[in-house]
Amino acid sequence: MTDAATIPAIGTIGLTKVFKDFWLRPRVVAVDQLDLTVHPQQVFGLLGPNGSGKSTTIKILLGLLFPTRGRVQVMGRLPSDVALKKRIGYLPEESYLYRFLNARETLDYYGRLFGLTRASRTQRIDMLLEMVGLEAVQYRPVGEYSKGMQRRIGLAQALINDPDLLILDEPTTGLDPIGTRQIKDLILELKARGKTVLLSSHLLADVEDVCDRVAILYGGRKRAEGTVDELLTVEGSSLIETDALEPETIAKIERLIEAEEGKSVRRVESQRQKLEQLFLDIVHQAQKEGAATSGALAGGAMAEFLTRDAHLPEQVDGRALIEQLTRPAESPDVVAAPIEPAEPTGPDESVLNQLTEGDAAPASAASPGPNESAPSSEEKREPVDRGVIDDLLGGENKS
Amino acid sequence: MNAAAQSSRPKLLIAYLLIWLAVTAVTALVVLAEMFLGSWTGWITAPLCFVAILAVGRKVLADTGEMPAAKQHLARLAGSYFVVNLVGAFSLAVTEGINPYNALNLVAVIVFINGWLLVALLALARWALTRRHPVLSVARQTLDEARGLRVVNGFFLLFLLLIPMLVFLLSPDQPIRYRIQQFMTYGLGISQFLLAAFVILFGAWTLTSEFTGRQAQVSLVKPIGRGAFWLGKWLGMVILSGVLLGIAALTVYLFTVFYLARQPALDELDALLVKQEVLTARVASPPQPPDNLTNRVDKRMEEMLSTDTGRSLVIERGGQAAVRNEMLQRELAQWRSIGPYRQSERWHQDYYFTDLRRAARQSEFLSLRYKIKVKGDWGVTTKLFLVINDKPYKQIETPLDIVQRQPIPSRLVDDEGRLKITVVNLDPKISVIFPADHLELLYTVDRFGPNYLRGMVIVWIKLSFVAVLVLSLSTYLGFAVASLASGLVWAVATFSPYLLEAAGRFSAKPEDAETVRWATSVVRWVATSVAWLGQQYAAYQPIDRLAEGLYIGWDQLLGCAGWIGLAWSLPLALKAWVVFRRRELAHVQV
Repeated sequence: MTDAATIPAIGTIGLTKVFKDFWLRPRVVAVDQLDLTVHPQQVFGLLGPNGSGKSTTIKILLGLLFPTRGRVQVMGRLPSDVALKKRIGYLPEESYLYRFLNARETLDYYGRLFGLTRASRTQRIDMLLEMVGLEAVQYRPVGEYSKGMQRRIGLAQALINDPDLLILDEPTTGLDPIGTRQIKDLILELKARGKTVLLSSHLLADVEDVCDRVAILYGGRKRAEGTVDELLTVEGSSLIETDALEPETIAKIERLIEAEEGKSVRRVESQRQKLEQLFLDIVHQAQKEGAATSGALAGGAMAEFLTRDAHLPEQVDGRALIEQLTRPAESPDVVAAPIEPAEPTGPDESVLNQLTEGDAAPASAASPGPNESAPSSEEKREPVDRGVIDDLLGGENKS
Repeated sequence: MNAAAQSSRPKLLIAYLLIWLAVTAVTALVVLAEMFLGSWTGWITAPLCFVAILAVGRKVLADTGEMPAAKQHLARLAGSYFVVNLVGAFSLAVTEGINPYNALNLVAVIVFINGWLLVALLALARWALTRRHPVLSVARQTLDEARGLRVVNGFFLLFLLLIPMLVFLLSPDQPIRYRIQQFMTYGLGISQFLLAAFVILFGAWTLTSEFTGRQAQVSLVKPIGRGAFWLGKWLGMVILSGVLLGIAALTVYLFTVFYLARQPALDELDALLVKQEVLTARVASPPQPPDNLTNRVDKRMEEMLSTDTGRSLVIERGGQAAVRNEMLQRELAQWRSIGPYRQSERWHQDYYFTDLRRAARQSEFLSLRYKIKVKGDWGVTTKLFLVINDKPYKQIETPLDIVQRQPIPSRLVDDEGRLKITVVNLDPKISVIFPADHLELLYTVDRFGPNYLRGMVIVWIKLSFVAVLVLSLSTYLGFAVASLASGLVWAVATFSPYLLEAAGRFSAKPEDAETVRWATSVVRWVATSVAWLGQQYAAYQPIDRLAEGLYIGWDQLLGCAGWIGLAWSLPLALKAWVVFRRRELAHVQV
């Protein structure tokens, strides 16, 4: 029996894509026997070097490419299902927008395709333009925008329908650190609202900061899958973090560890600030001082319709209002799949059975264990070693 | 509405006002200069004023800062129409030799109406497409794309400029009716050609650029099917071509009816013929072949089948029906030919026209439309004498191989609606013949306006088919190949009658080698087949009929809608849908 709550947001079994040449001879195997399950409310990262099959996988999920072999379902439907698209937002790896339309016209066009009412479109466009910091240049043709500004308007179009599933392909490409931070905040905010996010990237920090689960692709095949902690935790090593210590105290601790455990301290150093944080602090300071800029602004608060309760009167429940605003216009003919907290992400038999229609699912060597669970965004992560990921991507330990 | 948009509105209104004032002032300046100093001043003042307006307009628009792109385009178009205004007025003043002030007023009215009509119709079309249906949204986006591309705006300008420029081709020495016919043929013909080229090029661009620019990867992951997306593109093209065709048609109509038709005619006949033969809608009635003509054919057929030789000849010539038809055509050709004056039994021939009572009631004159051919090189004219209802009517000297018209008073039609015209060949040396379909009596059945409208709808249907064709090819071909292939198909279909005629004459000589004869046969067969496929498209030629003042009936309009709009277009649209659904829209580098 298949319960609606167990329907994965994304499910692929044995997904294979072979690109052929002019004479229909197999040229490149872009995706090879890929088994993937993304549950609702998860932020799932597709990690891999260039040409590993991330974008191909995403384009198959969106119906832009057709699989050579294997099965694909998105929210329980085939990718070619037009009604399904009402619940999906997609940011491609580059912003493929109409150069002759301005930002407002661009968002209006995509809003129309979703069947949003005029009032709804106007409200959302205003909010999104403010959110991505393009309000001041909204009447300038998109063709005149810088790459980063185009990414911002691209992100806005992906959110115009308040999607249940957001697919982001290299979302931080071309963005400054502020934009990058905003994207990460947005992803976490959407996750908190129960949305599902599929994030494709080859930037390790992007994935590490926001993803519940990660699959690492190489050569079209899945090489590893699990939570970030599971993949990055280094066995046989402990880390203690305190405020700055006096040398004498450190010496005492060293002696204590040697006496109790018979082990020595390998390294003691002062904590360093992340470069990203340093950069953000400097820019925020400049903005406080009113320094002028001709580019995109830092961007405003999260669009109201994308948040839970922010900016709303106290007596109004944010989610209820959003649903009231969006439900009639957006998806009259689509029954939204019930959103449940992320299920354990192991090889759920009922999910696989649904995809395979009774066939036994092939066991993946890289499948996660049964005790895995998606951590919440509030969960504090231990500092981890990136060496494992780096090893998988190129064998070069950069830690 | 946000603060930025609100703040730009008052500035925008001021900008429009200033541009409008500048246009008015310059128009007045040019007119005054021409009135008091001579028409030559227009050639100097107009460009100077134009440059000044551009400078002022640019400054004013620049001051408005960030402004909605749509309104920027409107402002640019408004400036462009003013240029068209001036060029048209001066060309009219020079070629027509009329008062520059009047010429300016006339062209100003026409171009002013047209220019703002384009703006208004595009705005109306966008407004009509505001419903939230995805097909309408894509159609609207197609209009926006046209408006946003510089090359398309350049085409708009050329399009509006060209029709007023056609006055250069008109000679004041010609009879009015010829000038009207010439203007209609050139104006509508060039418009039709330009619009077909526009539909082909922009149609190919609007779809193929979705793939090359990858915008389709964003649009088609929204809730719109590929068929609906394609349909939206087609709808946008149809609306766009309709708007442009409407403007061209209105230009020609206004210029013809309110200017050319009111110019002083060469004589009374000229003035009469404008109303009776050009600005009207007439039907053609061919003469009735004699009753005994088919009887003669049947009798000869029976005689042929009664002998063994005849029967084998029938089989050799393709069967009874083919042979009978061949005999019938020969008899009809014989009936349409007239021998030399008093040198043969058939030096005069009677032609009976029937069912003319309604025609006699509705119009003062009927028009005998004919063309004369002779065998051999016998000069450029020949003399005929017409006898109507057994009473001498008129001797005419007529050019050879050119369509001619002879007015016949409708009072000569008898009470039974019959008219007998006896044609006498006055040349004692040569035989003359009326080719098939080139001897007919024309009479009015409708007004020019409704006829003109039906003709333009037919042109629009044909343009819509061209849009289907190019968008269908663009689902799997690139811009260059799709536009070239569409252009080729359009050209073959449009010129299929000429192609058929040429293919019919294309043959190898007996002394040619076997290979050459074989290759010639293949080429001829291919050309004939292709032209045969396209002849249905060429069969609907409303522009020629309008210039001739011929009636375009509802049957023709519905026939065109059925054949071109449905029978030809639907399979192409279906093919496009099938191909588009199966097409992978992304090319991933791995």
